[in-house]
Amino acid sequence: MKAKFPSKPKTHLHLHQEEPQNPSEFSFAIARIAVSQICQPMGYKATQLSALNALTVVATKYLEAIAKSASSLANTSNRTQSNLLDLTLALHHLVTLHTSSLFSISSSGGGIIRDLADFVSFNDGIPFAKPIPGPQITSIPSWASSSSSHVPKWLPRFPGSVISCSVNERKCGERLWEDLVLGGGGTVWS
Amino acid sequence: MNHNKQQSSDGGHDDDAALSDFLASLMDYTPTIPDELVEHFLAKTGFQSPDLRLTRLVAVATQKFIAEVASDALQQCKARQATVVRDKRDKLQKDKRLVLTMEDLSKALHEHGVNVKHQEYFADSPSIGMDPASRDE
Repeated sequence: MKAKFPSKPKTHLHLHQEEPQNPSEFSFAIARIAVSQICQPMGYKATQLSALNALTVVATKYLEAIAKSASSLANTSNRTQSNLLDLTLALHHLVTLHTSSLFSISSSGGGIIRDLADFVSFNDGIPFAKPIPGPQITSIPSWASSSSSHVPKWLPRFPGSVISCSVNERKCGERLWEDLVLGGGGTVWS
Repeated sequence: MNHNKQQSSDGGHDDDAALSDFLASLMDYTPTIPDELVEHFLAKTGFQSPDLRLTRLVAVATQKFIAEVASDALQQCKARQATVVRDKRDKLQKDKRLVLTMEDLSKALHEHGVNVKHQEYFADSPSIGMDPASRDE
């Protein structure tokens, strides 16, 4: 199966695939578009779908690997927030196979950062093709009423009222024991 | 050793200046991988940083890696096309048609330390591909 790269940056990829169903598929789809945008200026006219998917997986794992080692380096230094030095050391750990590791490691991080600076100055930025919709934050019901004064107001309400409605009506007329004892009154259950 | 130390202390100023210039230029450069996607993956792995320049740095590093892999795969593709002997009729078509295949990609990734294996084909019965004489009817 082959997919054609768009000739202009804003046209759709002609893929006959379903809409992403969950957040991980959504982020994977976005990453795939970004990877195809990186590959297109090289001169590729088309790609095998499996190759594009594999390269996207590699890209996401690379990103996660950088972040994981940077955050663990920060944690071993008693910090929760990573800084530039953590990031540089993490990049050094990952990039030991490349030829750029032969550069000397000076106080500013040396070869890796210099490579990235050269990459940035040499290439023009390719912005992402489409705007990404932000997360939709639905309103969360909170403890606004003063009846439960022991609970802080900023906590969301218990989901109990939602669950009991769906669970109350079961097959064979079963009901929750709590409902029978507390709200059922004199109903006999067998 | 002493010579190196002197060099690094003199060059330290230049390195710091170059580093801060680079970080400032990151804000002008738009990485292809969007900031929201990078922040999603960073949050997934526990990387916390209030500085946007660090997220841009991660995006640029990933972009550089993917660009290197893609260019290596392109070299493989071109090398393979150069070795194939073709008629004059096919030459125009095939020269323009650079396709990213799993074969080139796995060779390019192997040089970067990532091992990718791809199914050559999928067979729906054990006797497919065998000689017709030895196949059970």
